[in-house]
Amino acid sequence: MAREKDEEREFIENIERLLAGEEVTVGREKSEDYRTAFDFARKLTESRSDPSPVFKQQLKDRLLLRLTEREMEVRQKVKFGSIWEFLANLVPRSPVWRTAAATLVIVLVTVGVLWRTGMFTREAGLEELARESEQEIMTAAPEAGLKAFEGVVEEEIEAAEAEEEEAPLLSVAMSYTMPQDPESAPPSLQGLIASAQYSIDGGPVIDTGPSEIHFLESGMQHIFRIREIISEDAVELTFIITGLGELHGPWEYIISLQE
Amino acid sequence: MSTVRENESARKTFAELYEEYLPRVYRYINYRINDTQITEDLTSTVFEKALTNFGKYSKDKASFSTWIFSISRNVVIDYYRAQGRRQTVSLDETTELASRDLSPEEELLKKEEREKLQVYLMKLPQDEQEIIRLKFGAELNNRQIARMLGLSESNIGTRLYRSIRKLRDVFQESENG
Repeated sequence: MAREKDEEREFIENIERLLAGEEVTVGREKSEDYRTAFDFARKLTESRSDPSPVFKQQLKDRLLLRLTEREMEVRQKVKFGSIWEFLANLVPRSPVWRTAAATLVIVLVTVGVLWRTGMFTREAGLEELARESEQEIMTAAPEAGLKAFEGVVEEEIEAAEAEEEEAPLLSVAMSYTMPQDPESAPPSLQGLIASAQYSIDGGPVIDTGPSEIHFLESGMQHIFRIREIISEDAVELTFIITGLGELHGPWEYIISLQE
Repeated sequence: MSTVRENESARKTFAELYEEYLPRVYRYINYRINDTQITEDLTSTVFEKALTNFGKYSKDKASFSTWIFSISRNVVIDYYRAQGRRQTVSLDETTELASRDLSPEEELLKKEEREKLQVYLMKLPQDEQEIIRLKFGAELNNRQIARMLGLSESNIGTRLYRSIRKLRDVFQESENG
């Protein structure tokens, strides 16, 4: 009886190891009953099916959208500040951020015009497309007076510290404001999805993958992570926004990678 | 700012749980439902319910494994209830399903074997079927299975060992003729 119990316990332990992905070998000293039962357990393990990568990604996207929806419901209760106050805070002071602001104006015009084509029914404004290395975020942001972005900047630094090895070398943030009237209906969630590609020094064009969506006091921000080790000699990044909601790009921006 | 951080934290937690549990939930359901499309639909339902009710989940009451597989079990039960039929699949039916599959030969053989295993699994008592699904599909340990089924941990070990041997015998008998 005790021997049977021991055998049973060992059998279960071997199954646990098998399921954990370990290589398990059953010795010849074991009974045929034990060995064939274990071979059958191995067959059960090997015959299992896995979800397809497409299904896995689609479901993940859908669930993240649901999370976004819930976050928006909470955010709807927050009264937004004035868009003009927000714009006033975007006046850069340092040369680095003046360069960024030149890009910003282009994006502002582009996005503003496109939005007037009907994505949102009310007046909408702006934005920024800025190049931010982790170091620049810490030193340049306060100097630039980007008060409206302070929260996000802080979040960026924290994310980099938490992920360490996985910390992206470069993030591209695209932010925009939304209508400030709390009584207006929010845009559709599908309308908030952004997609982009990039290329470094004319190299291959690579999808950035999904952006992280952050809710700002006066709008939203998409952060695209470029998870590629970028050579110090790299000169420029071509960043292409391929879609924003129902609008289709491309909108291409050249961002210098040299100080 | 705190809301931004909370949202980011919720996303990270969700993403981690999703990566860990999606394959397990999928396999558990696939052990019970012999159809890829329905398995995907029900797996989606499980995660949507989990997301909706995550605020009600308390880790003091149960582990996340126990919680999400309780949802999975209920989703499958609801599915069969809605279908109004018993959860049995005939060997003829599985052969037909396999013959419609256009995947490569090795994948087809694997699928056929999986379907046969599911058919033979149906021949075991319900509780033994469930122990095997929760072990090999959900990858729960014996303590978690015991908690879900209201049995003792040692009892689960004994039943699992017995069920696998029984299933092996059924499989061998059927294969030999």
